[in-house]
Amino acid sequence: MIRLHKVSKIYRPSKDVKVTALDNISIEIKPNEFVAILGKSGSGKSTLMYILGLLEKPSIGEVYINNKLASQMDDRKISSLRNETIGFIFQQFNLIPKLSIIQNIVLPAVYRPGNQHQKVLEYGQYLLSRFGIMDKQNAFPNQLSGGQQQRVAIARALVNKPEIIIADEPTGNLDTKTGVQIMDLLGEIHRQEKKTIILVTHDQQIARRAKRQLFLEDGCLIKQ
Amino acid sequence: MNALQFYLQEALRDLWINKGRSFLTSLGIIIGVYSVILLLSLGEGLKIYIQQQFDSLGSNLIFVIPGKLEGSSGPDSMAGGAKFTDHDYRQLQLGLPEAVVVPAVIKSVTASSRKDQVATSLMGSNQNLSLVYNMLPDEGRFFSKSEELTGRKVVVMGSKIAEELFNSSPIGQTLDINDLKFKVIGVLQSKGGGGLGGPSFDDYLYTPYKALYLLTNERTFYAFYIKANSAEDIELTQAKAERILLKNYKEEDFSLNTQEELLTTISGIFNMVNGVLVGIAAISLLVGGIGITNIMYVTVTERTKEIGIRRAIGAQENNILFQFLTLSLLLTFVGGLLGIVLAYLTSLAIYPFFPATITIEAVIVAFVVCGFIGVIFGVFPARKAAKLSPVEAIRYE
Repeated sequence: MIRLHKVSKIYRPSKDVKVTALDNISIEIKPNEFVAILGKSGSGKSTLMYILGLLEKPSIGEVYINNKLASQMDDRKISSLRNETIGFIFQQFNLIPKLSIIQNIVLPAVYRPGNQHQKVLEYGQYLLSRFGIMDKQNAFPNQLSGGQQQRVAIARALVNKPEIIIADEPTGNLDTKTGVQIMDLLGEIHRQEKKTIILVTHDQQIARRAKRQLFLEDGCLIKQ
Repeated sequence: MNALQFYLQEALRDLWINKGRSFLTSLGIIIGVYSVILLLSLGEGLKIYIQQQFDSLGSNLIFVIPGKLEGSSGPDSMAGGAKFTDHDYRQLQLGLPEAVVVPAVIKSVTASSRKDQVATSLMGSNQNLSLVYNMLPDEGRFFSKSEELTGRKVVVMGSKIAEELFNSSPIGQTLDINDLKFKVIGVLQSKGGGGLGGPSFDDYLYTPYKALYLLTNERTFYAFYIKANSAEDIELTQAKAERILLKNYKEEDFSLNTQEELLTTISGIFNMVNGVLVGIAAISLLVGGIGITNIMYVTVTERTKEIGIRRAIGAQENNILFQFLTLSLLLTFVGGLLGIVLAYLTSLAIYPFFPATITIEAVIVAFVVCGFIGVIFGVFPARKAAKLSPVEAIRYE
């Protein structure tokens, strides 16, 4: 599914400064896995998430998605691979404020050439009703609670039916009870829809939901 | 939903959300397009107006004026040159027996009746002026050959000035022109014109040139109008008249132009002036374009996080580029459309006074120019948006 081969990411904020965010990482994530990436702040887990999510390219090494060498692709190909294969869930929900809930949900499909708008809309509505927020489809993000917004973000991540869901601290901005509900929902999606879930978190409690845990420290993978 | 529909929908939404800002941004384009279109319509109106004025004159006319009137050198070269005299008039009459030669001299005068006193222009000529200018009396008559030869103090009035100076029919009444008493013998039918701020035929007084000479020490004419016998004779008559005048003057001292030549020359001069004005107005379009670039950069910065989110969910660089280009194009097109509508309304308002006309070509040019401005001034901010690093954009607060 996803394979990182000897991946390093080096930033050069100025001419003389060199920061190694990831150092020689090799991982393989199989289909229908639920993996947690754990690490303290600054450990490189966000960089790893962005590389896994094809938002950033490694400085050294290769990234394969379904055996395709993604790290060598141009913007058009990599964006469309990301659009089709990966759904993102963020700590800050990251909904677009001026778009209604249903418009936010169908947005990834708009960037997918040849999408059938009506079908996408119906699927978006199905997800909304499944998550219990059907009545909010014409509301705007600022009219929703944090938990509701995160459900919308999950629906948006699912709308293109991707194989991989990457969730970056999905409960970070929620109270404990809502956080548990969101994690239950992610677990349900993993079980019922056979999605690969990559959970990025610093919270051991939440990471326990995953079947496999990767620990990062100073850009190095210390435990698989 | 296809991509174009989506970009347009998003751009319309953005425009609507920031109504005030969008309007202010488009204002530069609105003013630019408004001034360019209005000036073009005035130029077009001017062409129509000049054509109308020439059409109102008689046909087969040759204009003899001092100085050289060349399209390229412009009106400056009209200054100086020959000072036509009574001698030239007689020579032309003798040399061109088949044509009608009409001299013209104009003097600014004060005309007073019992009712009012006005500053106006008195045109001195011969009895054939009415023939050359297609002037028909509304009442009374034009002055006669004998009145011309004896220089009798008779005056024919334009319709407008007659109304200003007399309540009832002025025929037979006395008009004081610069303290000399003239007898009113006719009032002309209205001919209109004069919409450029200059006097029209209706504002003039007409008298035998010898009568006008009683008011001045100068004994010169500012022009001769020669009416050829027929259209075929124009060229020959023009050549003959030139030969006659060359006996007394150098070639550069005078010009002979047919109506058509004069129309072309005058239109050429006005086109040039209009072109320069349109060019100046177009600078405001450039300024408007810079305003668009400026606000687009602000918009890109404001929406950095949104760009990052869109990239994360699969938008390509091109999707972002086109989204922002659509926004800048929409801003310029809305501005352009408002500018055209305003220019149209203005031209409608001034139409009763001047035939300002917006041509379809001007509208098309305005839209094409707006398109160019939208793309050229929008492409740099849009490229900046497209080239943002998705990760940096998504982290932007």
